[in-house]
Amino acid sequence: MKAKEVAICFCMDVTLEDILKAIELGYRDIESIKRFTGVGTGPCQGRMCLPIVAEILREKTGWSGELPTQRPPVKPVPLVALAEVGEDER
Amino acid sequence: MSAESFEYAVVGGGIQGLSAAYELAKIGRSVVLLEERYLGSGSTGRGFGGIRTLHGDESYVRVAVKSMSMWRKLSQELRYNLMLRKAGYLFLLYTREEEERMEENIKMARRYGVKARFIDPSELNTPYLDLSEVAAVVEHPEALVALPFSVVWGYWRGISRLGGAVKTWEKVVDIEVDGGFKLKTTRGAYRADVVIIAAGSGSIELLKKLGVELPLAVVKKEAVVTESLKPFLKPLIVTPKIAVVQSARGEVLADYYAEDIPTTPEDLSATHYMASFVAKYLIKLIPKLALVNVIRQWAGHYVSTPDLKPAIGDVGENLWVSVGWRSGGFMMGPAVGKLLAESAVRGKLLSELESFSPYRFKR
Repeated sequence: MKAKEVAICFCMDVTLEDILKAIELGYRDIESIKRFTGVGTGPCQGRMCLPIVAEILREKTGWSGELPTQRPPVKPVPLVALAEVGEDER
Repeated sequence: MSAESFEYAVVGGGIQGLSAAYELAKIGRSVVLLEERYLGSGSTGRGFGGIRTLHGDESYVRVAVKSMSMWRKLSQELRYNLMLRKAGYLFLLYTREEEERMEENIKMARRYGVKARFIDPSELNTPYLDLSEVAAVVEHPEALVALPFSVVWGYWRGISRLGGAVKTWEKVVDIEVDGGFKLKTTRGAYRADVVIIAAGSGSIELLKKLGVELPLAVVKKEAVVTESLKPFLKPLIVTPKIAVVQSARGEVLADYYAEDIPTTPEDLSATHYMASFVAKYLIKLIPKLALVNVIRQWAGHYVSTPDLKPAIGDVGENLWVSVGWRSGGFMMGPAVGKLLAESAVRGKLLSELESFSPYRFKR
């Protein structure tokens, strides 16, 4: 299978070829690769793809580091739901 | 451990540090830039990339105008697509007081060629905006929006091409004056004749190690981003409560800040409280977004001085800073980096930056 046919991030349509290209261009940590390729920035927030990217990076560059910080919300939430609750909690 | 030697060491891989390092490399100085995490990982990468020239302070406007003319040529200069677009800004004002302040700002900024004007809301082609409570609208059509990370990478590539060194994931843990400066990082050691600190909220601790006290306070901001939508929102919209922009990928980004929420340089937690505020004001402004999903929320910092202007200049012999930035750090980056680099080389703060001198806080 060709690298451009291997999907890594389904939300943002990022392929293995995109990841390898980013590494080649000098983006050698997961945070920079995430921002350069968009991998892991879609609705699922990298649940499936980021651990795979981490593995590719380790294999290609010997990188070791943490996965990007998980931000809320855990799953997509409509604005109206956020607006209606929580305002008084500090 | 033997230390690598450079003429200049820049601490902080945000736009301020990158642009200063780039300008130094461009005039043939040896320079190393040290970044604790990845480039743009601080405030630079947490903002929306808005670039405007309309500000309330005259010296600020002058530098912003210089910066704007640099921005227009920067993609070409850095040979990198900065994803700049002429989005324009809309300022929505809700009280007579805000209107009067804006009138004065526009009058002053116009003297420097800044294009901004009050427009009748009926002239706006923005049916999605709820303007029912709006007292006045100001259009600032020359304003741009860039993709902050593209700018960061453009500078990085530029510095590397010019022979400068950029080190990431390398935190400066100690810094001493010793003839020049000795910098100890988590990975090595460096010597430099001149040091420039532009490390956002991280600057506070570093400056303390050097015995420099500046009145810097950390203010937390939080933003939300929605799922991607078909492009509908061209300008960056600023209200007294929130700022809203649609990204090149179609996501709607909105942020909110509260001066009164206690925080620390380490606190980048995303809170339900702030998300709720952003959501509430965003729906009020664009009611059709009510059912659109938020996919991510993040936090960032302003570093604020008592007069809300940054501290740029020397704070000791061969020791320079660019700290205390609020919303202007990104848009002012190209010009301030250049003026700061030139100041450091000359050993004297250039007159354009004089009103930002950190010495204004000393009595």
